[in-house]
Amino acid sequence: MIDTLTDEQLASARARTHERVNDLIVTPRPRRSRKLPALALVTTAAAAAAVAFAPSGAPTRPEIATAKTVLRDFQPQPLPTLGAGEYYAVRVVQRKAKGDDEGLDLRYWANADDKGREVAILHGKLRTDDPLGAAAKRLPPGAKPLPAMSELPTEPKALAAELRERAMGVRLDKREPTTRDYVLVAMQMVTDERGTPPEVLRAVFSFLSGLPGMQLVGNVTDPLGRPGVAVAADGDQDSHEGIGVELIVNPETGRPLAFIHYRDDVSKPWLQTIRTEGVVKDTETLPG
Amino acid sequence: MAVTIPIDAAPVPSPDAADLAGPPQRFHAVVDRHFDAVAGFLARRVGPDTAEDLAQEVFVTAFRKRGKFDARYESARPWLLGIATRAVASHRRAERRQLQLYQRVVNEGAPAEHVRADFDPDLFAGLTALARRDRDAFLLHVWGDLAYEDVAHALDIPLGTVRSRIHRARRQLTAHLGGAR
Repeated sequence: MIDTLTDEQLASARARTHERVNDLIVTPRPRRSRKLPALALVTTAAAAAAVAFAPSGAPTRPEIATAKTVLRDFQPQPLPTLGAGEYYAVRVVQRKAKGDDEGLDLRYWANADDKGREVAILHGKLRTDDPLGAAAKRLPPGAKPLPAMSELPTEPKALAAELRERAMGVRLDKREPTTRDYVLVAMQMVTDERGTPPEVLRAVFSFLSGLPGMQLVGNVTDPLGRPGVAVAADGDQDSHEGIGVELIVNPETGRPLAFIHYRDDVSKPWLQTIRTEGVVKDTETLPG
Repeated sequence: MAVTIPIDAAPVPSPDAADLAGPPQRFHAVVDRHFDAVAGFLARRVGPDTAEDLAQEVFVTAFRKRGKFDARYESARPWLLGIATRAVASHRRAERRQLQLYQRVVNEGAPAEHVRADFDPDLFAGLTALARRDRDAFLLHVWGDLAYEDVAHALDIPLGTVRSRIHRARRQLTAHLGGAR
């Protein structure tokens, strides 16, 4: 059977296209607002205080918050130590920013022995319900499993080489990965079912901090309303490749909260990948 | 004496060329003329749900790039289908990364790996086995109803390259299907 669009679908999509063209005619190339000032103010105030009380008497320049400083200053907290009967629960939801589609809902529970359960729900329907780790064994012949974040080296040069290799692996061409490509690779920290170790998170943040074009979005709330700090990388707005990507991190724990894909002028969120994690007592309870 | 050019000798731009070169509001006419064809082509390549979104992206991209349309061409459709073909490629590249979880956990293969899988499985397998460039040219020809010259325009490649790519695709598909089709 060949797929076709119904007349209703065509009419609806065509109407939305006209609306989007109208948007472009009225407001060409809108940009996402950057919420830098609030964060910059806090950092600047702290830096100013440091200048005032510098023991050496030699004033230092106050440091303005940038993507570089924010990423560098995240202090990722360690993963929880599990007691008897406890599970580290992770839920990753990937859904479109608009519409009612429930998208993909992945749930993992791992105890101290790395045993547990994993569930995949797609568009509201249960697709798999297996012992933890079962899905990774069902890959099609020849398919490579996704390397775990925990396998990343923390030594800067080795990490850079490994991230470059992973970024090159998802490019169709042989060009050097862009900052956006690297941020996409780092997105795996949001989807990591086992939880990325803090030393790896710290190393990846440090790597990202040195990339050109990393932008500080600033204080944001993620799709669940949780406060976070976001950094972003944009693509080429003139092509379909123009998908901006934004990583939201909890500034208190230094752990990832969500990842947002922007499409169309990098002004409108298109795809949200949301992570929740926590310790629970059974393999039914979702992390809070 | 002033030299005048007979009015009928002046090149008359096609409706598409005129609309693309005119005020931005005239782009709506291009949408109306070609949306269904572009969306239909995309639906065959990536399925109806994704096609709805991707078709909008194609026209948003075309709107921004409308100044680059070559007015010598009669119709904008090959140009639009070329944008659509590149959008399919980049969509899959993005989707591979974004939905890598889907592949791993739900394990239905990468979503929309090359073309929709819910039709003739032999044909699907044959199409997916083609090199991407050959497949793009071939599908623009057979699903996009483009002549070789228009495929060349859509993909911005020489006509001879189109011929060789489509020939190669046909030969490989025929071999894959056992020469039965």
